[in-house]
Amino acid sequence: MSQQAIRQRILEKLRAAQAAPLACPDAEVFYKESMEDQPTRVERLMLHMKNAMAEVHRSSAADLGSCLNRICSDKQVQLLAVAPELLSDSALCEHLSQQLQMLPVTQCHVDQEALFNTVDAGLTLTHGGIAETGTLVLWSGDESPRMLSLVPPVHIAILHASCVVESLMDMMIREKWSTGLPTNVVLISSPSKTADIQQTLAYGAHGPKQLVVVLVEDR
Amino acid sequence: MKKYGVDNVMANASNQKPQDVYFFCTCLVDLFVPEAGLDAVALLEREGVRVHFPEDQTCCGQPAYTSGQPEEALAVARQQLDLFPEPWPIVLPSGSCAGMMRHHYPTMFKGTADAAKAEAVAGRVWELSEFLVRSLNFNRPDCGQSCSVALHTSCSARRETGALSATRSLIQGLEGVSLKVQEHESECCGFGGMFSVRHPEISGGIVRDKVASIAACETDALITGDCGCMLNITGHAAKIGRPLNGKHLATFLLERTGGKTAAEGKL
Amino acid sequence: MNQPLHFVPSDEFRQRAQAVVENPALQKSFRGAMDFLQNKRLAQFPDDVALQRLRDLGEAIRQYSLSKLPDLLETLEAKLTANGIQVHWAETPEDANRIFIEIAQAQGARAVIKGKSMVSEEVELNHALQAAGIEALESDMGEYIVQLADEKPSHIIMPAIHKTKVEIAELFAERIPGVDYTDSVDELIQIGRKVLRDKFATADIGVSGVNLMVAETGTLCLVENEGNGRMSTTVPRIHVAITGIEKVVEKLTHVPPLLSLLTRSATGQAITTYVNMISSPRKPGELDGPDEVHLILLDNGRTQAYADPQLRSTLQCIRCGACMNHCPVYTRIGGHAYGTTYPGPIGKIISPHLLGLDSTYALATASTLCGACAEVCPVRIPIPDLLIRLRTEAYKNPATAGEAVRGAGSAYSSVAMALWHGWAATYRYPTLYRLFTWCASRLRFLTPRKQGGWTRNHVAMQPAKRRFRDRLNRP
Repeated sequence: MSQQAIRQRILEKLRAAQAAPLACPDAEVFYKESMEDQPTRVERLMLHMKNAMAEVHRSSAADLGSCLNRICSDKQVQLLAVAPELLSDSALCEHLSQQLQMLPVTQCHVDQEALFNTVDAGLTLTHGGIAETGTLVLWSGDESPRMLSLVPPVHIAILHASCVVESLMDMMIREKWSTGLPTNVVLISSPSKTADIQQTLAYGAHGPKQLVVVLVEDR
Repeated sequence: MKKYGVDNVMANASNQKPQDVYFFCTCLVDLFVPEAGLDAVALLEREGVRVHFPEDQTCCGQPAYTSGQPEEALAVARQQLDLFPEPWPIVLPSGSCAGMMRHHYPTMFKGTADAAKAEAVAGRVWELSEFLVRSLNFNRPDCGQSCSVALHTSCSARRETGALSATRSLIQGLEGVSLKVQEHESECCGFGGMFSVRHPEISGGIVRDKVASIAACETDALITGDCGCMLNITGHAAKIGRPLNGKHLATFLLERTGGKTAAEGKL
Repeated sequence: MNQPLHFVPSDEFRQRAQAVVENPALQKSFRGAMDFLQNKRLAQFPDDVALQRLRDLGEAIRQYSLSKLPDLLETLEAKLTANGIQVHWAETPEDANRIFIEIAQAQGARAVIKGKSMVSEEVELNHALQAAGIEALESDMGEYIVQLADEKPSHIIMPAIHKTKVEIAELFAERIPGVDYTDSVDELIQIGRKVLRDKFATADIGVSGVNLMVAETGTLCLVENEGNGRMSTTVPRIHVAITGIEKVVEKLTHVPPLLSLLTRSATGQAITTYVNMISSPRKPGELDGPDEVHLILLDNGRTQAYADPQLRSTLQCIRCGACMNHCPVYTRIGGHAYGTTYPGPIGKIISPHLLGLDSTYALATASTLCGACAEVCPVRIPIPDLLIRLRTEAYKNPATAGEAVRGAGSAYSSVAMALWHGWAATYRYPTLYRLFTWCASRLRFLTPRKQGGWTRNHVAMQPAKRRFRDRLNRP
């Protein structure tokens, strides 16, 4: 049977059984606007992330370079894959390049070979954060490749405090996600982990063994 | 329609203490554990309630219903619908049969000529412990020696009636009785009616663990409000040579509060 | 070699179940695992009122989605296609495998790396790929372990839940070249990571399942903890997702409540490590991601469940596995005994639609109807009611069984039917009932000492000397 015929058959069977549609449930009302102020919300996100074994740091925008340098030297990062979205920040890049080697990802394809084998850490920006669950939100794009937060053993993520919202629902509604999403949205809430062997938690299953969040206080 | 995972406590509990009740003894009690039924009646009468026993009652129909024989179940269930002409509460010494009549009758009879009657009956059905607590405000002093008991609440009682909290509060109201919580107390005992006969391999595994966790409590008795579970648990315990002193809640309550039980000198 | 597991006779189900029940090591390991998962779930739902409200919402969203299923599938297809994702429809497992192999062959693919997908297990994709000369490697740690052991997953969320650490340690030492025995879980995971990393980097195709599809945006949502799902859907040049037609919701805002119910009910996590939302292949200018994304939508009997107003609720399932984690039967017999891709309570109610009731009705009878599954089901599937319904279908007279479920009437037996008729005839006439029970009590010495399955586990039941009605003192 042709693809088209199979499709028709399935849809016809469903239509034959279809009754009147039910009323559409309003999921949005379930998520009430929280009255919390932004600093408290940010604290909650950081606490959740810490409890989920992410490493959390704070920095001002001005000190970001030295903060990242400290983190990298602490983790003995020698080769850092930097997301293109950060390369326009020349001050930051200069700062970083004083101490370590940067693998700028600018070609039409990420350097997969290097990412898998030699890169020590990936550095990315984040789209935002979710306080309710302690979650980073990353949107893919021309300057935001997906593998940097996934393949190297360490993922360092920069989160702006002003981009933290209460819930996923909150973010979806505020930013009108329903009008269009990028190729990939990924929510990250801890280092990669598994409990598949006798329910024993182990980190670094296939993704990063360490997740480092650098919270940038914007003021 | 029954909703799983919400409190199924009776909504129509009235503040007025009823004068008359119907007693539906269940087929299991009638033939196998009459003492449980007699003690339940004695408890109710001692609270000043007139207990009416419609002689024509047989079985709620659950065995056929859960075995995938709805027509046979319906035929038997229909026989019970005319037994309760007065608007009195219908009390059962079994959470399982109470759950059947309260929650499954409306679904079973939906679309039949007896739908309204079934709804009306279902709305008056009470599990014994729930009736004692919520309708009769049962509160009698304990006059027994101090002892410890384990409790098993049947799954129907737990999920289809408000018997779980009612049974607990009845036992906790007895001063000399300490209630011990067994491991995995909320888990099914593995009875499941025909299941225990059709799948003895699996049923046996579940009741084995239930007996072990109750035995580990080393209590003086096992209390339950359902004779099916009781026969399953004590029947297995006896089979493996570690007998348990199983008692229906009605018997235990009556004996602790100074009533005369119907026991014939056996466990 | 993995053997296909399409048809599992009921008597073998009982034998398999018995073998597990009588194995103390397995009993201990299932009990421990179930306790662990139950406690973790419980800790996520401290507020029962909030939980019940969220379950109401989850149920409403799933029922609403199903009520519009054909429309949503068409919207989804249009949106996905506009986004550049290629949509394929499969009525049977054979269709699904054929579609997959055609995609692979068109690209000359030799190696496939798989993220976790129960639907790929359902169609036995690995088996089909092997036959077509394509290597398929599982990358979820649990799936990798069971594949290495030539087994099938025994749980939909934790595939290797039946295996102990030591068994896995022995398996790794024996089957992975150059690996020495270690029973350190961290080391074992690092061994798996190393083996599979090379495969991610070189595989031609990555496979994944889908947890939810969003019609309005054309988005595939996947949840996972390990990162293998992201690897499979990001690194290889081609990504093929395979899932059942029922997994679609209309709106993006329908996703958060279902996600929250899913991860909390499944593993007791407020959220999984990764939630991966894929809406297109790599766009021009993007630096990574697959060039091609395909979605295979599988029917395989789901339209049959859909056609019946009661059985349709089976399709509300979001595959969290909470029903099996709380099932006294699953706890005793584990996942393999069922012989079906989906074990536990959900397996009992979905498998008859996938495989026919003739080979699966024994599963529907293997339940005490305790209701623990329905109590925890995040989308309120009335599982015990569905089990009763499936029993009813199985025991119908084949001549008049109808077509609601394939294989209806297959458990019919005229002897059993006669017994039930006899029972009903006795119990519907009070006079007959009284006569019967009077005889049973007065002639109690004639009660058989062997009472079939009952006396295997219990002392024989014996009627009382005098019935309740005889002893009740009534004027």
